[in-house]
Amino acid sequence: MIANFIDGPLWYFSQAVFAIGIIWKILSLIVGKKKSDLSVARGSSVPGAIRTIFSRFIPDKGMASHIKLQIIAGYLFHLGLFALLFFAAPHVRFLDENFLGFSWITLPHWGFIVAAQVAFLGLLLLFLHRLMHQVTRLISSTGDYLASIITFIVMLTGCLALLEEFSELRLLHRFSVEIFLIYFPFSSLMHAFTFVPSRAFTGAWFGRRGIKS
Amino acid sequence: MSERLERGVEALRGQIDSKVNAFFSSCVNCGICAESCLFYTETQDPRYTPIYKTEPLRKVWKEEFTFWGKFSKKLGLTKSLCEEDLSSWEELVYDGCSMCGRCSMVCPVGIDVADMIYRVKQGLEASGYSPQSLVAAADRAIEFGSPMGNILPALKAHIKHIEADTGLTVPIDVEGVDYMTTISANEIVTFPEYIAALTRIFHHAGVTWTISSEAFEATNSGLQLGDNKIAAELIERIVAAAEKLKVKYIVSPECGHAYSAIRWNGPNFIGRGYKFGVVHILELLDELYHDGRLKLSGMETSKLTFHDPCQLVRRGGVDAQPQELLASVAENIVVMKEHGRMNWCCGGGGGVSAIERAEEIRIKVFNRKKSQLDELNVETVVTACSNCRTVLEDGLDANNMEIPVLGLTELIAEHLVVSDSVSSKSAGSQPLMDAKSSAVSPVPVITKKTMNTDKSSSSKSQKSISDTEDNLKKIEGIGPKIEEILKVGGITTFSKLSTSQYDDLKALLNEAGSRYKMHNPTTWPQQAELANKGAWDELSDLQDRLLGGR
Ligand code: SF4
Ligand code: SF4
Repeated sequence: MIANFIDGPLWYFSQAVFAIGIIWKILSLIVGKKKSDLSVARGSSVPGAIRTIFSRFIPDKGMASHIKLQIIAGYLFHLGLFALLFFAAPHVRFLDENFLGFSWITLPHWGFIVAAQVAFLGLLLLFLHRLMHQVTRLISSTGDYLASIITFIVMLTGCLALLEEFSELRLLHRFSVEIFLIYFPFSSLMHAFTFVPSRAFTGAWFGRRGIKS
Repeated sequence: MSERLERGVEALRGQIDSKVNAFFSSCVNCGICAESCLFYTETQDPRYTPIYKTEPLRKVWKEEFTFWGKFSKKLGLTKSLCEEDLSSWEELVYDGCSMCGRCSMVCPVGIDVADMIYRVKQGLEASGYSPQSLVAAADRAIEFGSPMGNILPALKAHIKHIEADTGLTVPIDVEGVDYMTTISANEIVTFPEYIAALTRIFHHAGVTWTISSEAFEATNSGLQLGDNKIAAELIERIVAAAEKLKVKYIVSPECGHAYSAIRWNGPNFIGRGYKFGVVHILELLDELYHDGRLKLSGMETSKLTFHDPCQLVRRGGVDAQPQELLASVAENIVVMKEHGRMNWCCGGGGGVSAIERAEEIRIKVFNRKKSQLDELNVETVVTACSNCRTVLEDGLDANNMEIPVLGLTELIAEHLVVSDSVSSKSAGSQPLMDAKSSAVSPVPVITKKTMNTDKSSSSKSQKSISDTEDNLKKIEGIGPKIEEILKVGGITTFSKLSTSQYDDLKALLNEAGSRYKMHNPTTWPQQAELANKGAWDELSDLQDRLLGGR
């Protein structure tokens, strides 16, 4: 009964919330109020926007030594998660069968384990940093902690679900993913999409002033 | 909700557009921006974290533009923005942010935090939570045309001196020329040598130019305060003057804030583009240099570094020109580890230097610049912003560092090849720093030795005259150190001070070291005359109208 609910209505509902939430946010950014700039541009905004979308993947050299932990943990977590999300065999199979109709190269079992460990390590370090550093302690909201915890649970249940003979574990993973999908559009997890327009806005601003940002 | 709070919330609400929405939706509260901000690094107080300074705006955004915010507001789970928030953020935003924009360069999700802080300023200002010193400066700008009051007479006096010194004419209100030059109040009051430098350079390069007596002030108190109406009114005056004089370009002074105000923000403040161009003085000088119209000779040999003004380099895009110009007159340039668009601010931008109560934190955050300079061990600092210059001099002074700070335009002027037609008493191919050290003073010379290292003898000499001297500290603008300089220079009484000439006082200050150059003695004789007569009430009235003795 619960299994049917998780595999059925809740699954479709969570996907709908996720998709509508993201489309809504992106649309609101596109059609939302924007201030036009009447000053004469020195450079172009589009190349500036594109540049900044990519340049912010690399931290500033002078800053790097002061934010070592955030850089290392951030990279570990995001790269590990990316590998798991798009190259774990069950995910590729799932996407192939349910959405895309094609597949691509997948991680071997040991690769999965490494990616998972890397992602866990990164997430834990970021979480500890959030808890312990005076700055992040002050600025973090309940939502930030919740987002980390939900992501952690999704990853943990995902690892457990690898033991596919227990369908309860697969179900548990799917359930946690559903919670994640529903929570996603209402939280700072949205940065996974909005970082692009955010960087683009800033890059465009700097670009028209002829500044590399 | 009080009417005041309502105004603040309304103004903050009006700031929320797609950009703000994208920024707040993306912030992961990683805290990285804290490490880019000198107010945090030098105080280690997490409240100075850049994104934390935008909290009032974030609160309004969350509550009115997000699902959870609206939902929890309905359930009464959130604490809405209140007056206490506005009151405590006033200090964080105005005193604790120089609008340097460094945080905007490092945020991994690309948030332009400085832009959002300016939006918060607008909310605070609308609700009346803004520093009194900035409000008063803006009032003076609206009433008298400059944040320092009516300084047209001071400008005219300086022009007279410049014309006498150089034999050149400083064109006022001339129609149909190419360039209308604007000047910052600080340049008029503290660094008039900038105007002299411009006069000589423009004559040398054959530039046709003028200063408008109606709109010469380039700084914009509205921008510092976060009041776009005031900002627009001040820009309109410059635009009207430029249109009236039918000039092709407005030249912004070195001051980075002034440049941002007129070049980038101005058209947006007034809601229309200009019919003329705007160039920064260094852009113009660089162009003249490349066109071969600026003939320079001689090289500075002392070890120097350039302090990049944030609004000019990081936020204004005038990056290469200062480097090129400096390299054309100096051969021993060293760069700070973090320079150019990633430079560290002096700590006084965005109006911080004009907020009296912010002095303590400004001096504290100057430690960042101090350590940069300590690493380089330079003999001179060159910059291209009169505000940076004042703040650097103050900071160096507070740290007992004897490093002169020079303006780039003046340095260029000192290296002009002197044509026969220009008679400049100070120009020449001799490097500026050398020329300075060998200058003959028309007044008693106070060496650095007597000022700083030989304190015992200086205090002895003071003691010997102390029986007959007045307390010159009663004069606004004179503190213990300047009193000592004046007394060692022979000005021991109100009576002597009241008959002293501006030039002599200025020379005494200049001779005492770079840190005293920023002081302006214009009103000291007038104040001293009142003190000498015992007219203390009149003196007090006069001092009420003055700002730091100016
Ligand atoms: S660096 Fe950017 S994402 Fe991180 S806390 Fe600061 S503003 Fe937010
Ligand atoms: S603009 Fe500069 S001073 Fe203000 S918060 Fe950002 S880094 Fe700090």
